[in-house]
Amino acid sequence: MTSKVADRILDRFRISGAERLDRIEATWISLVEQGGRFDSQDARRLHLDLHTLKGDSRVVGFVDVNFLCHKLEDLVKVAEDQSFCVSQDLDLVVTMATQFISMLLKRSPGDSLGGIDLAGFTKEVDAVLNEIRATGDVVPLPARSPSHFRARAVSGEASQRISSAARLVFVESIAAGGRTRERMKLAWKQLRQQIEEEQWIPLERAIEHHLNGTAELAREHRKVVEVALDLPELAVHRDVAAAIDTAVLHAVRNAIGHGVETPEQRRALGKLPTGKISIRGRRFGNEIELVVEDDGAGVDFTSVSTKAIAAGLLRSTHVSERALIDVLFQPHFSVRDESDDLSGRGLGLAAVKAAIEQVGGRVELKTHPSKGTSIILRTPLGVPSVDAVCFQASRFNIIFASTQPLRPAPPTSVDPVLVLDPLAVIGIGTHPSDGVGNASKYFLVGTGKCYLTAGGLPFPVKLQRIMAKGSNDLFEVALVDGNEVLLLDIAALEAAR
Amino acid sequence: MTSLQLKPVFSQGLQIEPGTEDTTVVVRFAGNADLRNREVLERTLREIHGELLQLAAREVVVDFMKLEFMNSSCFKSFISWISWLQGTEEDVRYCIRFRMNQAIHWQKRSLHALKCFAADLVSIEPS
Repeated sequence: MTSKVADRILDRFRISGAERLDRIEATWISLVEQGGRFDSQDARRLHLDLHTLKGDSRVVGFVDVNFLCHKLEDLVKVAEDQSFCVSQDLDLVVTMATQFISMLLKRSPGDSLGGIDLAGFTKEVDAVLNEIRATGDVVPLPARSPSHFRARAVSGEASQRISSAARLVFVESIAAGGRTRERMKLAWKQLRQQIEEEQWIPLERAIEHHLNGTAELAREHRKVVEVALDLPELAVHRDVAAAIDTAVLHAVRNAIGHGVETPEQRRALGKLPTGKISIRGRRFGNEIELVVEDDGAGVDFTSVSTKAIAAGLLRSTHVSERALIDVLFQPHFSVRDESDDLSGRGLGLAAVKAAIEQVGGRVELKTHPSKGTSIILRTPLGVPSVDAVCFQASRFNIIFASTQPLRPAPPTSVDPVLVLDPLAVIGIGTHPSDGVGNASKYFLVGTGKCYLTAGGLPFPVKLQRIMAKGSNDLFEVALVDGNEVLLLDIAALEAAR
Repeated sequence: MTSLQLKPVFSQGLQIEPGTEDTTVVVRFAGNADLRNREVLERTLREIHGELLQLAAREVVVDFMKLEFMNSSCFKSFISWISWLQGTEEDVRYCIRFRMNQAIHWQKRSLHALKCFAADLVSIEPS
């Protein structure tokens, strides 16, 4: 091989090797961030890239790169065994190994390594591997698939118990030092994964009971219906599932009470005696659209308009169909003069709307005279984030949050009795007044009834709640931009004072 | 040695305080360094590197005694620092001496691994 050809091959290897290494690094970061519920395709890609780099480096004589790739494969294998819930040590040596390879790629095969201590680095890698293998530092977790969610059914009470334990572990992971801190962080990561999984349940499980219940309810009201369920395999947040369940319940009751006719009426209209109610779902990105449709009479807008004027909800009959549909969703509005156990109180559609809007969704109604009505529910799959304020703790690297507005206050203007150290509230510190004595050193933020020592001014954020919270809990762990914060229950703090 | 131009840095739980001990430049780290501090850390290390070259320093002490946590992305900034140093002419290179807190487990592991990037330029105390 001429030296020109050899140079060209080496250059090509350096370029492709550097690209591959960038990909390896990015995939590693992504897998560690996914921790526990990792994408097996990502893991496969990581192994393939690493193995290819190892093979290529051997071909062009980069034996040190080949050797380090081999070590990196060992590290990644250990990480995968732990579902990428890795310790800080493991993350550090993997990151450093990629940097080491990057450095070696810039050299020529056979070059002096200068100050690079490859043997020393290998020793550190082996030490981390041995430590993990010996202590079983991380509990291996199985990879999660969508079907995994279907097998799970954890009660609200159990979920709350796990959340309570997780809150304590999270606090300890902040307060502890050294190896204990690392272990607590790891335990928190696994508990958080457990909590998050428990928050998601299959949509079908949330509403399948309506299949039997609806047909039975119809029979009780001298109607015959067939209910069809057509849903995608999809997990939704527990709160969203509960909201959809409530909405579907009222939507089908509405269909039986107001939509589907009796067999006699249907025959007279030339319809089949059995009415049909279908519940169909489709996923649109991070949203689910659920349609509860009947083939009944449809909405009688003349009747709606007359009743709405009588109830003072409208002034004129000359209004759009949209305005009349809005009236249908008003609480206590019904086209019925009398109510029974099924309908007539004017609460059904209002309940549908309230339930869906509570989880950030929206409701639409479409109707065609004598053809039927569709109630269309659109909700996000997860619960929406809420407005909150955050502030830095006066000590430690902790961010506190509150969904109640907090205003800064000059320490001199606040009665010290009203001041709390939030670190003591979460159990870091010995007494609620810890640090308060030096209040002039800190910022104070509060509601007027209660003030907290802070390391900075409060700032607005969008906050995502991730765990169930008991009514007596003073705080919970929540997320802001993916970062964990401690959400304080200010009302509970005020009451506890 | 002329006086240091470097200012202390306080960034989201991380403190970096440059100073001197006798004639040696000492950079003290305290708190936590995570993803939020990555940019400020990289920028500060660049400034430190520039200043050390300007001062023709022979050594810098990086004091981690009060550094509680540093994640892998921040450690990459230190690897970058070492590579900038390796990229300078040999006669102006200075040595980096890390002062390690032995009570903090991750420091031992990561600093010894870091030293392997340039064993001729990086040392750790206690060794």
